[in-house]
Amino acid sequence: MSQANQHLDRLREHSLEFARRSGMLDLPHVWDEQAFRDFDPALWSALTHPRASWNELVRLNDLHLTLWYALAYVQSTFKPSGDLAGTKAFTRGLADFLITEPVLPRPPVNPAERGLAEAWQNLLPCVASDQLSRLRTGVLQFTDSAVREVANLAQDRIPDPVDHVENLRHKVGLILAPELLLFSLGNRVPSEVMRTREMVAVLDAWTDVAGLNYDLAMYPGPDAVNNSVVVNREFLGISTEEAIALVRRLHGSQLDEFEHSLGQLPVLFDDLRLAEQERAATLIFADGLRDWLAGDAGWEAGRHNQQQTTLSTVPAGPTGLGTTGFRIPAVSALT
Amino acid sequence: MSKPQPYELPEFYLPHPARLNPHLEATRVHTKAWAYEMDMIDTPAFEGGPPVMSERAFDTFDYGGLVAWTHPDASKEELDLLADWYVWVFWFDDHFLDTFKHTGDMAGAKEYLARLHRFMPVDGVDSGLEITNATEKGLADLWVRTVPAMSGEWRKRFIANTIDLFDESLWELANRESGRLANPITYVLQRRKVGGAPWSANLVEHAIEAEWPLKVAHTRPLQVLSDTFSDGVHMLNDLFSYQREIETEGEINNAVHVMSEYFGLPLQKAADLVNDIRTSRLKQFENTVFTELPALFAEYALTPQEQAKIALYASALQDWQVGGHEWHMNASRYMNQKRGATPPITTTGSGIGGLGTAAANIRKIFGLEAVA
Repeated sequence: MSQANQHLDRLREHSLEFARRSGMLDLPHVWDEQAFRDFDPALWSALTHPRASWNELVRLNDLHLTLWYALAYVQSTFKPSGDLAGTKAFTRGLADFLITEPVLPRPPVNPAERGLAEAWQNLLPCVASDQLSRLRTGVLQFTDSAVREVANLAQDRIPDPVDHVENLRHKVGLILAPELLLFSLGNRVPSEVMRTREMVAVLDAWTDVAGLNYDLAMYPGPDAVNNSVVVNREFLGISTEEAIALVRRLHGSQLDEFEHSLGQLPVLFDDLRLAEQERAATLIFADGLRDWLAGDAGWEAGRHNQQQTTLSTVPAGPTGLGTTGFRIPAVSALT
Repeated sequence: MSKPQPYELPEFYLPHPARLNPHLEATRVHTKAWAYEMDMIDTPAFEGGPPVMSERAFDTFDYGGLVAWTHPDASKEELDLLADWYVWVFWFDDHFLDTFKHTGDMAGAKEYLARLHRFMPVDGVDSGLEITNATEKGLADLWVRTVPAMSGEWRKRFIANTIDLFDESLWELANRESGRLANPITYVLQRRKVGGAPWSANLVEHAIEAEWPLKVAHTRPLQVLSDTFSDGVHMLNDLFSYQREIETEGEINNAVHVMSEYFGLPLQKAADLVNDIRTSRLKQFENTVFTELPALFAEYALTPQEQAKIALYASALQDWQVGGHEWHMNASRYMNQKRGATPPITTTGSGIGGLGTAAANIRKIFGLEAVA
């Protein structure tokens, strides 16, 4: 675990306390303490943000943790019955707490709202208004993706691959995750760099790598519709094995695309006449994106192995998920 | 084009038959006069250079036909405006690349684009800038004719999509495309992003005087309508233009090519797959209309007028979609032999024009190709 953030232990304690006081451990069909410890969201934060200092780490962790919880809550509460109205009410409730002033609009009424209210209030003093606005958009994209997934289940509709990839981008956080990574690295990348087509290409591919990896790790899961394997299998009329192979290949292709796009960044430096410090900060961010992917894949692989030993319900098919094509050291360090 | 087609055109899903705007002929006359007035016809990009747009190329291209098929219900005045916008955007693209490829002046190109940006003030008031070229002249004229009816929010969206077209041209000028073959995910989503179809969708709002109501302009269902519309337009065009792009122009950015290479499919199968994607995008468009819009109306308590606007918008995008198909079927420059049930109605010009050699992107996006 050499790549994990040095504050991991403290973050685990903090996370457990955070989850407990917001009530996230009170609904056993979502999470109880053991499930929470097994899931280990603090490890995810520590692996994906190995260089963050404590103040940033804890803030990004609390927001991510809350969204992990929201994901689990939607999965266990709304997806089985395809309860679209319930999902919309739940996500609308969350949106109430994406506030711009440190005053709550109303008392939070469920664990996700309590978690979000606390996480967001702690972020407020630390981020500028434009960043706050992007984070808000990112959370809304995330909640919207949950609504869309439940809508698909409710309609018994298997999305096409384009639709699914788009939604997956919102689910894993096309805007949110890079923004929190920037935040964790001190927000030193010039905003003009972030807006360039080159950086947008980097982040698109990066998000897809994370999303496809997630889908591979989750297949076959409780959601029998919203998964790249299912979506491609149905659209292309191929077997499950072929679909898994295809999704792994797409994952590899987007990883190549990510690395290729990163390679285009230096061209920007001259175009934008960036100062040395700005170039350095951008390269650190690029490394941060790599670390993040490696940490995320390592965490998923760890969960996968753990499930294999504790549950023995994991299918034989895809092993070593997300590791193909990775040129990132942390993965090998973890497995 | 007498070469054999590389594949048979698949059966296209069409939600309804295309209709032709009755003002076609009058708009053809108008838009040509406008282009002359804006100094766009027979004007070279640089001294001694070939004209960016010859009269014959202009006629062959038939901007009037394009907008008459894609906007069947527009008034004469509106159809004129739409035709002029398309003339302008194609002129812009060709002229830009001709000019700056010639000089290689990247800094000058950026400055030129920055100036154009200033000709689109969000407040809609005349920019007051001195006009220094035909592109600025055309844009200034169009801006004043277009924006008074539109909200600040629409202007922002339209400006953003126009700037995307600028960026695309700049990107092309810098020759940033590396010749890498995109994978299917990158291809479809990137094409949408750099494409002009969202720009066309903005103009649809203007054409039907039905702007996205402000309180729902940020919502996913409306975005999905625009996105699936764009995907449909792009996939259709790729199916028609494969032969031109891949066999004639050496282009690699075509969905049929991408699918064929990535999946190792014969061309016919790749074409069928692209058609499946197109159909699926159009079905999602419909699914959004029928299942998500009613929920959206209820959730945001839209007035009947607001609901009607959105319904009209969706229907107008469908008109564009089927009109675009009809346009391709009638345009002699596409591989459309297999399904020539409808005789070509665009009879203006028959020769080969000299429209810009470099510029493929913008017209590709609109489902149009330069006259080779």
